[in-house]
Amino acid sequence: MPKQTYVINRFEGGINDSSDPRDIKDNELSLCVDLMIDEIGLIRTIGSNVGHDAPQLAPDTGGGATAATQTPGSGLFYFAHDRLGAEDAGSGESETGDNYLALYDDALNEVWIYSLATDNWVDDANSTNNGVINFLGKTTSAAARPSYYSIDGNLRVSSGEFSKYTSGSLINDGSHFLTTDTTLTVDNGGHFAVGNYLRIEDEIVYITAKSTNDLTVKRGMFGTKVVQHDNDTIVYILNMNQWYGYVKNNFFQNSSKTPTYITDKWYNSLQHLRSLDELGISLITYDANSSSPTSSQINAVNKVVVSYWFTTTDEDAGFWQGSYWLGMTPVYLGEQEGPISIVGTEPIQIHKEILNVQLYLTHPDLDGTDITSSDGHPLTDDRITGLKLYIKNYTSDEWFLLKEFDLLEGGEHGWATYNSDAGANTSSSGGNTLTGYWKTTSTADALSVAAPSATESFDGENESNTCAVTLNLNESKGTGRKGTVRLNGFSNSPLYKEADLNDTNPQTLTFNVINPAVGTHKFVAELLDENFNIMKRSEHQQAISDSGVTSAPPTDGGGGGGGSS
Amino acid sequence: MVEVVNSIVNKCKEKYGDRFEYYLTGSYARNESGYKDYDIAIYDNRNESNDWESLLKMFFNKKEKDGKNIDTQIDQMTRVIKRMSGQILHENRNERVKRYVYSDEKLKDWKYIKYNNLYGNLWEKEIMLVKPKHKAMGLDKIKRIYIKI
Repeated sequence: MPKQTYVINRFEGGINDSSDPRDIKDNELSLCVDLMIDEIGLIRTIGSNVGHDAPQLAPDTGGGATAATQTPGSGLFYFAHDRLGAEDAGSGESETGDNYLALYDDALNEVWIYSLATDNWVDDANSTNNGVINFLGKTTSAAARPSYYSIDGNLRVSSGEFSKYTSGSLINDGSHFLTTDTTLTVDNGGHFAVGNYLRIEDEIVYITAKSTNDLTVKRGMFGTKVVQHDNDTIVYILNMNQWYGYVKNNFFQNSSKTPTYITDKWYNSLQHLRSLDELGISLITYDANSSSPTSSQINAVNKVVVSYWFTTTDEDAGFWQGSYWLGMTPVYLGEQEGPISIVGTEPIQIHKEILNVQLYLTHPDLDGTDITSSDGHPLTDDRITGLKLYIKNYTSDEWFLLKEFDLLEGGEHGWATYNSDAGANTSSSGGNTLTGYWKTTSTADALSVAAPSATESFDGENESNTCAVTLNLNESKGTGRKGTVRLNGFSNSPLYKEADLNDTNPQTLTFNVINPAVGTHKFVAELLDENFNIMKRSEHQQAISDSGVTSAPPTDGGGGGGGSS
Repeated sequence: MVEVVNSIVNKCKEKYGDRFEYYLTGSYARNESGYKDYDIAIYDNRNESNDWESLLKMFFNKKEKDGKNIDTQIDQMTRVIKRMSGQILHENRNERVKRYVYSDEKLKDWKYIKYNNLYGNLWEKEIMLVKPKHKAMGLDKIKRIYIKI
């Protein structure tokens, strides 16, 4: 699917219902009910300003004596979910259903959940005296008017607070905050926390690190333009919608469907589908034309490595020629696709070769084979269930889908732990183990093509000719893996036979072949993986003599109206 | 890079949403150097043939950038075949399956292929699961590849 990003992030034109909807401007809306449109890049649900009494609600258990102070007119919301345990952000919860009431506490700026089934609201299971949703994602308190809505039982919370300067601070930089700056110094960094999105005039930035009043930021988020900002310009938190729902997935299943990492819990995250860049994931390309990557070349947390290598044919089969960028998007729950990020720092050069790719994901526990709960999701957001790899010409803006990676079941034989230090020529089990797609190349694997049993050209109806291809894998490519050997160069080529990629004994595959015409020919064998990527290639050159028979070998056409296999 | 195919599929998705699944299959998907065309298999989640003619028409007579034909068929067995191992495929290689193609000319039966006009320019094509040419190539004993577009 072509992948282009068209950013619509301004809505301040408001409602225009006097023109035909086709004629309204990009920043106008034909219809808008109970929504706020004052922030660039955000459409938020609006709060109420009707006066009500302000009750104080005390928790039944846990959380000490803290009571939730309710802001009149906002803060309460009913929702229902199939899963129990929303009140304490539990895990492994039954699917018997419960009704919940979300309560916002002005004092803590957090949302607590009351459960009808347990007649209880308790603090977050993972911390003392906290609600389950850290509403504004920051450390210091400020008044807010939360607004809620629920889809498929999952709760969304946004701010209906009109005053945006209560949480702000001023830029403290006499030299101005330049377009090239990534450290933002403010008067009071206490207002902000890592993970906050901040607005400075029309630009949005994202905090990746903080040291007192110095904030390390990513510039120009959500397609906003990176511009210079003067000293004493107001900086304030962009209120991002929060998502609170249940995630249950079995990640990185092996060939026996056994997962390496499991999510089965209530989960709170930004509702916004962030790109891999925004999630702080390093996207690296690795040129594997000479060898597979070692652990030191992959070893780091929060890293995705796209290893690539080229295969060539005598016919220059590929018609890609030039420089190409690779891009990657995360796929969230419900097949929702996040924004695209560039992979690597330079485009890759392709000269009519066939591009093969292999994916490696790293996780914090690099020495273990399991990704534990404490490690967290390797891509930091538990809602991400897949990745999509795109490619585009250097000079083009249009992305094309190359491959999808399912983080749950993986490919045909699931996911495997990759130990790049247990090299092809050693029996070492040392080194770090890394989870990734299949290792597919080994210099010690052997593939050879023998001469055909007969070396004369087509012999008519009496033709009986075979060609043996021998595969000798130095190491198993994984339990249960099946590959394919393809034989080219004969009159009836290409020919295919299945190969066992788990078998390290020599495998001799015998093909019934028909020799080509008189002359010297190359017979080429290719070992293919499940995706028909070429793992290994070998050829045999053979002179074919004249059999004296003039009839051509039999052929079988594909038939009309399409001939796909 | 199958740009034309991607472009048409994108238009189909705009028109029909997630109803159809689109797959590259055949010789191009197998990375064969001498592929002659681009084989596209489409699966309909609703299994309703009313829109199939208009869907297939969007691919009709289109060529990829390298000038090779785009051969599109609706195949409601796609999901089943995708799961078949080489062994299962071999056991069922002679089963008759139905696919649906677009043609503005009358299609006549040919050897082991039978055609039946459903309506308009939509034709039902009955063929064995693995045709003789592909059996001779050994494709009846290896898992078939489908690349989702």
